[in-house]
Amino acid sequence: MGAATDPSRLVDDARAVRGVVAAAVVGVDGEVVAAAGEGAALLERMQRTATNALAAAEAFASLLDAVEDDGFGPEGGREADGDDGGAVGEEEGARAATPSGQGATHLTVLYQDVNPLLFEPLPGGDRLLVLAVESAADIGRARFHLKRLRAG
Amino acid sequence: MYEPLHLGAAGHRARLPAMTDLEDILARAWSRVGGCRLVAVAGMDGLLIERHPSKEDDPALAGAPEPATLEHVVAEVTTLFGVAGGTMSRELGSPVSELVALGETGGYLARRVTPDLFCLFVTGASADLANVRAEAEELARELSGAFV
Repeated sequence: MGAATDPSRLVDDARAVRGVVAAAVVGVDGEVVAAAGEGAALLERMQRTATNALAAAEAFASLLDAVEDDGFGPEGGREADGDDGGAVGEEEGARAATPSGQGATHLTVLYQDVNPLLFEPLPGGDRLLVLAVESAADIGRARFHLKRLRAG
Repeated sequence: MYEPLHLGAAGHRARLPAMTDLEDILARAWSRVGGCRLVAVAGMDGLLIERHPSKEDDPALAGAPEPATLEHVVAEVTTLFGVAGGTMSRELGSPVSELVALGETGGYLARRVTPDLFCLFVTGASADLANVRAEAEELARELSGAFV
């Protein structure tokens, strides 16, 4: 089993990247498949944010489907964004995995007051890799290494 | 196998191929350029990926730009690559792959590694530009071989 498909190894490898303070693989149903990090509170925040983002993505996808069924709107992008109880969030990249795994998958970054979160859909479209980095200065490095981790 | 020093106790989990750690590649390039203040690699979207020196306990860090300053420099270089990708590149017949900016107290040399990545040397006044250019070319080759 390669690094990209073994959740525990993926989490370990992600944690080895400097600046990554926590990593988790989360299923589309919000279930945490594997996780490691500094503090239960941070891991809980990652799971909560991922669950909210996935729920928002599903709702948004349904909305787009309804619009398309009515003959309006372009062909469907399904974008996900997260909310974390009032934290300052800002989406950088978009179009996360959907429950159906449709569409291209891209990294999404939520800039927050502490520990920005990175969401990377994994191959197959049924899981997300969620990373918390120490500061915004670590996002570029984490994103760079994510590409290699996804490639396995 | 190679265990990066920054991983500490977690080093055994890194599973990085020997001598492909980004920090080490930058550190080697930095050591080969006299008068070099900093070497960095960044994305063409303006996000800094890695820099050397970067560790707080590294004495060489004193000569390097502040993190916030470097972020601005990287963003400006990204913009310059974008600007140079227009008429200048069309006139040349190929994309501009290297940018040099010199001042009284030093300068910058940025070299495109891939369409998505570039490396950046920040030098003092004593740096030999020919050497910086040669090392930037070598670094770009090394980075593209190791990571692309």
